[in-house]
Amino acid sequence: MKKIILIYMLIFTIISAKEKIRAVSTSQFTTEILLSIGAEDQVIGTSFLDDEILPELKEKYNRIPVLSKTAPTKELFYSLNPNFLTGWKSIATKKYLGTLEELNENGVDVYFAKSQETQNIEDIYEDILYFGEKFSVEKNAQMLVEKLKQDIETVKKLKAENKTLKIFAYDSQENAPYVVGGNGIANKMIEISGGKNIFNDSNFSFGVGNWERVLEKNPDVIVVVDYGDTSYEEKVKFLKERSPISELTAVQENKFIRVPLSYLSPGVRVAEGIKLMAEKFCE
Amino acid sequence: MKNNYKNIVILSIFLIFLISTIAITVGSVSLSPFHVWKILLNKLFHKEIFEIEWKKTTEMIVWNLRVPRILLALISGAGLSLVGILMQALTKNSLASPYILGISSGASTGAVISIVIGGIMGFNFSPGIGAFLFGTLTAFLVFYLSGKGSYSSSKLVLTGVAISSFFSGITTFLVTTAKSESQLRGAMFWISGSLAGARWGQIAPLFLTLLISTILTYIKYRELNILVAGDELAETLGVNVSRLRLFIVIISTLLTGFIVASTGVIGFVGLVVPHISRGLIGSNHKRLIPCCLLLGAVFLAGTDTLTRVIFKTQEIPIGVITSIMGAPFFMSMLRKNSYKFGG
Repeated sequence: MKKIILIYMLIFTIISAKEKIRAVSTSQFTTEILLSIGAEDQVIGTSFLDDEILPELKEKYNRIPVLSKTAPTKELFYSLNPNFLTGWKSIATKKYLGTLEELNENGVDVYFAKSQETQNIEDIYEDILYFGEKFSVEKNAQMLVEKLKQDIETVKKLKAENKTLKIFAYDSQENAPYVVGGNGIANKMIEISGGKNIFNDSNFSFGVGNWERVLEKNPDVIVVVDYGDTSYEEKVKFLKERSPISELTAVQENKFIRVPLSYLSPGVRVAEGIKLMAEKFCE
Repeated sequence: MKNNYKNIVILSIFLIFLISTIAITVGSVSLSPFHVWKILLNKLFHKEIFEIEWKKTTEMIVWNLRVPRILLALISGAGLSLVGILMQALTKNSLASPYILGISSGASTGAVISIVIGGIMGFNFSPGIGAFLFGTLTAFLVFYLSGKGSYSSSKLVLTGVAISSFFSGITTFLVTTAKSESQLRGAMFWISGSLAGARWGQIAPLFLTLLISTILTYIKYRELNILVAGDELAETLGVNVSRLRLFIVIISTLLTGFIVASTGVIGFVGLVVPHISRGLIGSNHKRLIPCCLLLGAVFLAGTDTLTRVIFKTQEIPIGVITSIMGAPFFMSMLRKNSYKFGG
């Protein structure tokens, strides 16, 4: 009897190990990583698109159902019978899909990208390699990481020689500016491009700063993060006409750089994002 | 009481100067008080009385950010306290605040509509304008609905509660269906109130509204004194009560509407300052109105400055701090049995 049970258990583990992954990705950057490493057949739904998906991934992306603009509902999520979830960390809360414990109890394995919360470019590589292993596409993942490493080495050379520009990275809001802070990948990217974020001593990746600091530091260049309902043009118009910093030299001389939000997320666009900024910083 | 009144006025004026100086010198960047006053005097007289020995950006910090902010704090504090007195006189209810007519929930709804939906029927407006329009409309609606049939102040208060909850529901619905994080943050600014959005453009209309309201209210101080004693008595003594009520509602609504449009909803000031003033100098509106204006200005400017000193790089919603600072003071005053509302 014991033997039979053991054999059954063995067979069961083999079957479950071979079970196909049914993943849901609730952020653009994780979606793009998964599509880039060729895991698209194992992704059953996506959500939370910030802006256009990378053109080379568009065809793959269109074949996967989009569950919602923002967070999918719990019912829809479970109706797809998923067993793996990744995306923005906030998705695993009571408000959206339930806590981590709850998801695990319901047989959903959850992995949140390390690079969401750190400043290390290396963490992005680790995330990609993890996904590669998880979705059994190790080779593709390794190739992607190699490519990213090369690209970043290349863009590092773009950096202007021995000149560091003071950067104010403006996200949104008028009463107090919502800014790129010192604790995240976006800040690291600014540094690699040859800039110094004026809010780099804060402990958030994105958060509320204040106008006084911007005036005091008098930045050389203003990075405007572009996404959502308020267009880049509207943001620049506000900074130039109605903001407390309208008299700063950088504002008056139109030293604005448009950077779409998806380029500041910790995904496959990091090198492109650095390139975008580094080239402008050199001008 | 008389002496007390004089002392309070002198002390308040002194405190306003002191707080203003501190507010302009302290912040995420510390400046020297001498520079600050030199910059101010230069700016006020539009010429270089003093040689410019500071950075251009220092001047911007002082003139574009700190001065409008402290002025907004002083005006809003004074205004909300004045409306607090008026509302307490109107409803004869010691729990009445400037928001009792539902102006705060209406204003929040208006602001959030402009943020989340981006206007109504293709008509776009800024959150401030949305707040003003909806806030004033709500207040008049409450007053109109509660005045149908026989008027009673408890009916007014209950109508305010009902309309408020209606609009709060709409606001919550809009906030939960907001499409993006940035919309959500913008909406929260209106709901929790803040002085961070102070700009020169708002100051002049606000100050004018406050000045006119103050003068008109002060002229009517006798009528207000009689009104608190009761409607019937007031009628017997020749006060046209229904006209006075309308006057109070119009003044209060416009003033609160203007304040809410620039700061969002800042609670507690308008409720507590009138009571504190009564506790200090009694219930005669002749002395109560000036005292309330001064104390309200000191209270809001003081709490805002204190918050900015403690949290140098972060914006904390001022409403949070007014409650934490004001509540203990208010309670200690209530425990001293000497205080009676309207007596």
